[in-house]
Amino acid sequence: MSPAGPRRTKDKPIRLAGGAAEALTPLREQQLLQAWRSGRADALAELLRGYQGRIYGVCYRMLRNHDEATDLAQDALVKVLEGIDSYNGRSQLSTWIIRVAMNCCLSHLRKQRLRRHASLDEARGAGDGSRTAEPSAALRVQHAEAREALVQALSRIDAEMRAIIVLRDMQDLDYQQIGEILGVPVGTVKSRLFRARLALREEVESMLGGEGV
Amino acid sequence: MNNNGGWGEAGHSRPMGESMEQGVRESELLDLIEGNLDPVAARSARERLARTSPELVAAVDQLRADRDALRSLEAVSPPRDLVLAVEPLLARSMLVGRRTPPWQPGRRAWVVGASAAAVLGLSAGVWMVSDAFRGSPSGPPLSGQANLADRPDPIDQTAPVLMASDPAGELHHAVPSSQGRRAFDALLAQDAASASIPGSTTADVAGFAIVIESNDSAATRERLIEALADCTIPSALVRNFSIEEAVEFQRRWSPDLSGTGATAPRLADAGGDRRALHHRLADHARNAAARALAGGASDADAPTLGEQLAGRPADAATPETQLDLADRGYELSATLGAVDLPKVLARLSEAGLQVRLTELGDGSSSTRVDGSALGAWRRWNDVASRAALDPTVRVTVPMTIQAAAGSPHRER
Repeated sequence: MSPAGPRRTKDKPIRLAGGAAEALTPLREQQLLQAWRSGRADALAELLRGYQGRIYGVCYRMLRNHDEATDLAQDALVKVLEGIDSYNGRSQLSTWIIRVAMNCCLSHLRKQRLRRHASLDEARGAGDGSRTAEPSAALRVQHAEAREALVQALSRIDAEMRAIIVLRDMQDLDYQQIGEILGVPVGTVKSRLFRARLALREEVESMLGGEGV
Repeated sequence: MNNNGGWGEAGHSRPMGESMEQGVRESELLDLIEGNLDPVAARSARERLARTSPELVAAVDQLRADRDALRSLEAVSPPRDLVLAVEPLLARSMLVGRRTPPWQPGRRAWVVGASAAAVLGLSAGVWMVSDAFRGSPSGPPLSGQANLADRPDPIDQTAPVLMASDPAGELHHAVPSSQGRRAFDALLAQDAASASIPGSTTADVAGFAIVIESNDSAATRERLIEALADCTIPSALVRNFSIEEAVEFQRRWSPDLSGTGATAPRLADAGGDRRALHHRLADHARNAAARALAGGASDADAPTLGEQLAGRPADAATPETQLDLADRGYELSATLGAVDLPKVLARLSEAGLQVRLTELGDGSSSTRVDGSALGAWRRWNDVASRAALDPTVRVTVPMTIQAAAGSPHRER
């Protein structure tokens, strides 16, 4: 299996846990970028709309707060808008945009001195319901509780560990892409990912009093 | 590791760490968790892991389950108006700086400048900034028209940028590439730059400075601009042009004004007498203004340096003030009505910025912006009292953005 996770088909967008389904294929992205560089403002607007789900998804999963995530997502969109001319194509556009969003989040969290407490955003229905095909309601509840515990624990761990899990599991990025976003080598990505998973599990155990889920 | 196969006291990952010494590397553990191994390699790794401890296999399985659970989370939908909120910026970027339509015939472009103060002799000037324009062209210029938005040569991020304003106040950028220079020269030749040159503000410099603690300078500037937008009296925010930038600009771009009867002011070498330079700039500006008057220009006001961040050039601090404040370490100057200052301070505080007021020059006796600090600044100088008498009095407040207190997050 590819280290990148599930295979992507070239022209088919994939559904991501961290953001709404994207309508843009890589080809369409390039077309829009070219159109923008040729003077069409609507091209960039379409590009931004195509990425708003992923950007918001990154921000929401990092902050677990709708209002803050919205503010940061807009900040990220502005930064994308302002910096798109400097995008040089060395990395994928998606990697570049997610990097902008993640940097906004990490910068914000640093300002808040990290260590956010978990909070449920019940109004938005953070989407942690079970999607499994388990036969019994009890199992569905159990899985839902397990996911909920993980999501809560995710908001409690160190921001940079949270970032790597969000990028890996919710944005479905490979090690290379994560490394580009966080500005670290692939080896460091792997090491951090491993430790992040450990830290997440330890946090869940701590929250649940040591009982397994 | 506890008897239940848990994670050990205090949550230490000791079992995993120990496994590294017993034939299963951390990278293999990660590959097992991530599902990156082929079936044969995975089976082998699990067998080796099981020989170390069955609990380790269970631990890996748990981590794998955690991963699968997170990957199964439903996507979160963004608010509907997420992009709508930034689309005005998109429209603005089409007008300001990033791309410029070809210069239209009959459009009178006037520019105001500093070390091109000699240009004032031709009733023109240019705004100079030291940040590069990172734009790309809007397309080929119309025939016969100067197009300041020509694609620049490989962008030199430290090259100065020309900015021109049309009478409507729209700003346009250009990089002084060879094409840009020709365009600029063409503008001069068109006798289009005969509109009034914006004058310098007569606002006093406050006896205090504002220090904003922030690790995101660009975002903080945006908050400042937003705060100033609420002012009742016209305000301006400018990034002070330092002596070094003026010297560097002189070094990189000296307008070829031979035959025009004008001379560019000579700037001191780096390390020269700044005060002399400071005064010489002012002298040149005055002289150029006098020549402009003699030449029939409609306005003889002094040029203005710096990068205009908000407001009109006419409302910005004088070049002398900017250079002086830059020398003292204040990279920004905000000129605003004294009656508006409390509101601006409140807006900055609402934006979550840590703001201090310091006495100008020595940085001592700082006060946080809160209710008492607002009272403090009123006592520090007589601006507030004058404001009570004259609601239109304006003040130039030096500002600086400093790294926030407290260490940044450290990698574990």
